[in-house]
Amino acid sequence: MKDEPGSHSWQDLLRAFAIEWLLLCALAVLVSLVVTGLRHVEAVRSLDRGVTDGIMRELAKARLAGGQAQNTPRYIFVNVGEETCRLWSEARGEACGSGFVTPRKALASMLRALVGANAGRAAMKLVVLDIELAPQPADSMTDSELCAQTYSVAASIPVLAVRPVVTEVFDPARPIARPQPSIFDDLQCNGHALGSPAAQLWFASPLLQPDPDNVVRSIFAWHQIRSDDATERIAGFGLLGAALAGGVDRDNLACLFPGSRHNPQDTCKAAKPFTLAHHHYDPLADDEAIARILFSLPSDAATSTATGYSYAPFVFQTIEAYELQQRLDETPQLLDGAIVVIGGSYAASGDLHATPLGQRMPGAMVHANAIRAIAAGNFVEEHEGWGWEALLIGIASLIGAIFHVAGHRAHERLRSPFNHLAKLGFAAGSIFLTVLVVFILGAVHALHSLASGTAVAVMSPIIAVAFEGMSSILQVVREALSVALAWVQGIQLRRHAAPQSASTADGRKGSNHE
Amino acid sequence: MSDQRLRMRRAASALALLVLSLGPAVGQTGEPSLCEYGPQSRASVNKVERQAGAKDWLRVERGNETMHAKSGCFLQPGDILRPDAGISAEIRMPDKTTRSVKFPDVLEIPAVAVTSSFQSLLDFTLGILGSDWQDARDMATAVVGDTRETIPSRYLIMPGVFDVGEQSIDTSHPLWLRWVGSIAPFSISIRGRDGADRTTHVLQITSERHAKLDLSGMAVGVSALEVKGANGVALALPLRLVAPGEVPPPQGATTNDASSQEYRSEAAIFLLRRAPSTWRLEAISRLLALASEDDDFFAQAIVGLENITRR
Repeated sequence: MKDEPGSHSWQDLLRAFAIEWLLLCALAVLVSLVVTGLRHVEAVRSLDRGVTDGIMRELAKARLAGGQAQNTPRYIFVNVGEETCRLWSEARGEACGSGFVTPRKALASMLRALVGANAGRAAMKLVVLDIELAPQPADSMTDSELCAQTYSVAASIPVLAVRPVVTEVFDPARPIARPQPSIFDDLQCNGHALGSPAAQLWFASPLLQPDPDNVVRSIFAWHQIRSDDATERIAGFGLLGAALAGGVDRDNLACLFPGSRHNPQDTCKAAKPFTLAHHHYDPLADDEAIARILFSLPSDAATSTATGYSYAPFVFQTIEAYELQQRLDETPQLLDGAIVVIGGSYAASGDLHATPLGQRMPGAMVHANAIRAIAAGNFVEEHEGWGWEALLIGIASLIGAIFHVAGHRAHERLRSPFNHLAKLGFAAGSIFLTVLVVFILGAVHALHSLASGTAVAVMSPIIAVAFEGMSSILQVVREALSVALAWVQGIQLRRHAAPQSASTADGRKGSNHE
Repeated sequence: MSDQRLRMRRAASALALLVLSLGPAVGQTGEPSLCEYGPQSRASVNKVERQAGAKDWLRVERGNETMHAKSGCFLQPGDILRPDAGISAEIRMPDKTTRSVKFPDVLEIPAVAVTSSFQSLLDFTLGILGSDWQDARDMATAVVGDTRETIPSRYLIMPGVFDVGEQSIDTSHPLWLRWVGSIAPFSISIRGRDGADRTTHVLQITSERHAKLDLSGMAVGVSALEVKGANGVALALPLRLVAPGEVPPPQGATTNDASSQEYRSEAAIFLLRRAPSTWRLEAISRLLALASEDDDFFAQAIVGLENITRR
């Protein structure tokens, strides 16, 4: 039996489909390689960051709205905000400006309130003190009082204080920072002198790692600080906070991060890498470690919780510093088992940062986000690998191949101009459906895994199929134009032919006439 | 008889003691008390106010239980608040808004909508297509925030000088200000923040929303500027008055002639774009001066024609 023109056997169709699918896959892989090569181009990175930021916002919204597993600690931000700054500065006859320094007495009172709140209740997990405390020679008594209060907290709860640092050489990958003095450097300010030899007071670096668009997405897990005497490693708030709250061996931490130890006289027996939330940390192998983290605690300087996120006090709560004692009186269980972060968010503090969750996140809350991310092992990987991308390429090529074969068959079977329109429709449909399917798959996957590079992984198959679809569309348009041109030429020929035939007829008439 | 009465009294006392000691234990179910935070906490009582003679607590119903809530009490979706006579309260709602309730209002804490996967996907897609890119651009260009208040009489802000903290001002030339909102006339005053001089000097009273202030007589140091509308809405701005030498010079200026319009324009743009935000007001002041007095095209383009005081 002989096939009619335009009809194909299933084998022919399958062969055509397989060839088309393989061609599309090859094209998509090629595009993926090109896009991967462009991954270091700022425009591509910017697209990648934008996609990841959007995913982070959705994740943070979902987690706050949907409740949280009860085994994760709460975060309480004791906020030296505009109102606290105004009240405390007015009490000293000043304005809340750039010269404002958190009053030491007020800070000591806050720490005293923490000790009181902790007594007889479920202990706080960690206290983060993100307030720079440079020595005040004119008021050393107050410094001593603050030191004593800090140690009374540290006697039962690990306290993570900021080690003031100044960046000497700004290299995004390898900054050189110089430590600045703190009241805790005073020889009289130590656990032995204050009767708390086992107190857990640690230093952490507040250094952050903004991207070129000035948004902080990464933190230093650790880096080097260089003083006149020595260069030593110091941990960032995120890693050290998560390690202290997560029960990592503290002697080992002191060995790994000499700059974070409060008492440098402590001897270090042996330092070894450690594992936290399934992630391996080996500070002995690298001088610096930068981690891109998942931000999940939205905080904005203008409001107690950033706009667009629901109020979930079981996960995260902000308390104005001047109200701390009152809040503790009202709700004695407020700090039970919590990680308490004390920091400033007033505009003149200069410690507000753009992050994926908001434009003015206080530095202390960036550190809180880092602690939470590292404690849960929630990092944003720079590249997830080729497996997921290959799957998307396969699916996109499948859609592209089906539509291509269908369009081809419709083109063969239908009459002009419907065959051209059908092919055009299939090509456009292919692009639309591919973009839709690949985008949805990519976004759903990304919402679950929060893998950076998703934008790239989603883009490559889309570009490949769009490229193929556009070439089909252009081909159809070209064919349609050719047909239209032929049609117009046909009309013109007929017009030319008509006078000629008329003149021929006239000639014949004339000759006849003659 | 008296012994029997004594025995009965002792027995009654022992029973009462037993009941008293067992009471809390019986009531202890292992659940947090009604006002404690828990995974379901989505609202809280900010404050409870009462008129003289009224109770000092707010009646809250949760299921079949009724509790007496004070400030700091955490609430859950489904809780019903019924203030008694003479009681008013401020509630922090799940969407972070603040609601006031007073007798005879009844308020139910609404459930928090849990975002479905589809909704997350839709929000994410719309975010990618829409406002998120705007946010990213705003971050990149460090566009400052503005007020969200929609009724002009209720706010008074200086565009571009929102929430930037203390501002450094060069006293060697006039300070140009512009603002929006509130109601005329406006009084502009300055007050010393340190040293002996803490008196308030009224510099100008104007019915316009712009002013040119001469600060040449003011000593360098910290002070506070206040612009106050007739309805009492005010903007307070901490200032640090500085000598001309403290102003960061423009880097890469095309001319060294400090009196030229080009240099002044470049210096103002440098302060706006490159210098720390403490120079924002000084930069805008210089741009307003250039736009209004010198008809400087670039300055006019930056501050906007609507902000030029001399038309």
